[in-house]
Amino acid sequence: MRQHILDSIVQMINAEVPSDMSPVDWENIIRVALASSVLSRLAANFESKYGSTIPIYVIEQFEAINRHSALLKQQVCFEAMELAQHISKTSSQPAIFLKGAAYVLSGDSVGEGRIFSDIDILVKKEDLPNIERRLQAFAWFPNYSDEYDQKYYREWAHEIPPLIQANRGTVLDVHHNLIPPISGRAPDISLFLSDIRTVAGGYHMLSPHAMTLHSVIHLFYQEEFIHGYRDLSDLHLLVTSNSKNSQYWRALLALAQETKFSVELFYACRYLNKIFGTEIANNVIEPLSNSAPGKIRLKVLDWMFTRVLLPRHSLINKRFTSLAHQAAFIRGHWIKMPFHILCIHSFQKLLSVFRHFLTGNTKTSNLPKAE
Amino acid sequence: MLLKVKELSHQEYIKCVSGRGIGIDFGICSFRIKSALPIIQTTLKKLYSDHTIISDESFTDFPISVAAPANFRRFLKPQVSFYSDEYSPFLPLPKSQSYPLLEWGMNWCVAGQKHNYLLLHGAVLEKNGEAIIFPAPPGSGKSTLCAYLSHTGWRLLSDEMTVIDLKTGAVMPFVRPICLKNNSIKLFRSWFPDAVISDIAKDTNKGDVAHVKPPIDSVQRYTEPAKVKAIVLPKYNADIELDIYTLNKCDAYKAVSENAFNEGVLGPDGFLAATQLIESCDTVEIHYNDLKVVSEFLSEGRFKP
Repeated sequence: MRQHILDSIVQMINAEVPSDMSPVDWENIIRVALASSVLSRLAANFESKYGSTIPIYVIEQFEAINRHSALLKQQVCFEAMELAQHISKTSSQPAIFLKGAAYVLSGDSVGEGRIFSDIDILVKKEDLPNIERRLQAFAWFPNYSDEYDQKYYREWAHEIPPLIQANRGTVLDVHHNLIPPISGRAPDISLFLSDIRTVAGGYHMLSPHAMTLHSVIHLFYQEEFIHGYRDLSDLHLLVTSNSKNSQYWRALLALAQETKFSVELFYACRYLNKIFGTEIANNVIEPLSNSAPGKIRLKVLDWMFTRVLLPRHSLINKRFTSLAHQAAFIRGHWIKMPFHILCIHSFQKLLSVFRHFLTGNTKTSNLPKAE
Repeated sequence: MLLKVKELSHQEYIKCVSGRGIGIDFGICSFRIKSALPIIQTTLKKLYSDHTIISDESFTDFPISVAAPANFRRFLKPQVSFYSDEYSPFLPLPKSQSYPLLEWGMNWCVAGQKHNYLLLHGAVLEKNGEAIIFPAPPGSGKSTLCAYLSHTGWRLLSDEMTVIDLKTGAVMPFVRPICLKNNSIKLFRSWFPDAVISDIAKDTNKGDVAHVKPPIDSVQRYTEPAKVKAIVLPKYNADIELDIYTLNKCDAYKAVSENAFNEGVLGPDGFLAATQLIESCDTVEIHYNDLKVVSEFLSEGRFKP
């Protein structure tokens, strides 16, 4: 059952229609795809991708979710235009869109039906005070966060606390690096910026290979994998749509080596192949296998990533999926923070978990009341 | 063969609702409702007995459930959560509000996902093939009016959710129990002592709440769309028997748009559907305190001065 659902979703991501599907099979695919935020990806351009071979009840679901994707795309284009202008007035470097917003703005297959909740941009660190001041003048205010969160962001992170546009509710993450400097692994950001591209509409973003590496780093430096499957499917589409370009892999391998993220790229290729059946050429795998971790370590990582990188849904979960998520959570913090910082951070978070456990209340719950 | 909920034996029903869930067809969509809570099982069976079942092998749009969340608090003060598949969109509520939570959760599913239609917050009733939409915010007396009309010869299409077909402009049924609040519960009971009505859930967000089973004729015609005759904006006023004001198209649009769940999500199509709706029918506002007089006025169907 698990494998059938996963195979069908991969087929659909590759614009193929799975065969021998019962109504319940379709229902299961939709449930799992919705829970892992890839339903809109399956639904994008469904007429041209699948022809007239899918049942009407699936088409109805696709049509409905496509309304969301279209609205999101419109909103992102609007905000991106505004943001690009604000940044251009306060910095010598244009706003560089990252992740979901960049995928959508790029017009590439990875952006079709890609949904996300916040816009990420990369700016120069020294320009941050000016940028923040200007954005605030246009009603981008810091989201509620307590003193500890402020300290966390300002001292250790690669981004400032999220900003919310007060009139429209859009959330913005302003980055000055790709991973937290406190990890000791933050790359020389100029290496990523050497060949910035401009896409239709005039938006700036990382070149395809740098975009791919950022996506890799982001995925394997995460501590929560609630969107792990969606993020891995981003990589599948990025890699598949660019692999015909012979320069792409060469540049990607070189950048990974230069910025010391070859092992993360190795993981990405490994789990892309295992989970999405992504074809990775031998001349890519060979140089990367030099960066592979030891056999035992790899066994442990395989155990963990083949669980946390799957959709988190009872139809998919394996034995010990929860444990694997907990292990990934610890690993994510471990590689991001030196030990003493991790202790402080864990203590703070433990306090809030304990509070929740006792009272059932979260300190800052975004959930609405039913009515 | 289409089976009704009431045609299941008690055992079959319990097996279904606590297993994969009981699949119910609403025409515009289907739900599969699962719960191990006795209060949900009993009330659901009571209020949906005339609804049509879909089999375990059918596709379902919305698999949902109501269950107790797993935290320590359940030993102190029991709570329940609504789940859309495995996702819970709301904060938990006290266990006594389990049933209203299910109904509100169903509204949430449709309002947030069923963007194949223009969805408005409002009741719809039909007589002689002509439907009247009552778009209204809470407190306007809409549900009381709706409960009254649906038990005096009008066909109920919906109490909470007006579903407009984007192509034809017709209104589609989404027949579900009517949600009465506070004083109207007692009033309704005195008018229609034979009507089936759920137990009262006290002290909810909306005060005391009870759900009324929709009349069997309305449920049986759950796939039958209706042409919109008028939009009537109801405003209960204890001092006025019945005053009727013609709404200009601008104000009518405002009433529709303010009560729309997804006009924005539908973009230009949403705006088009909303404007075509108000232009294709009569639009009035009524101030009233006498439901019988309102019913006579609506049945007469003369909305133009």
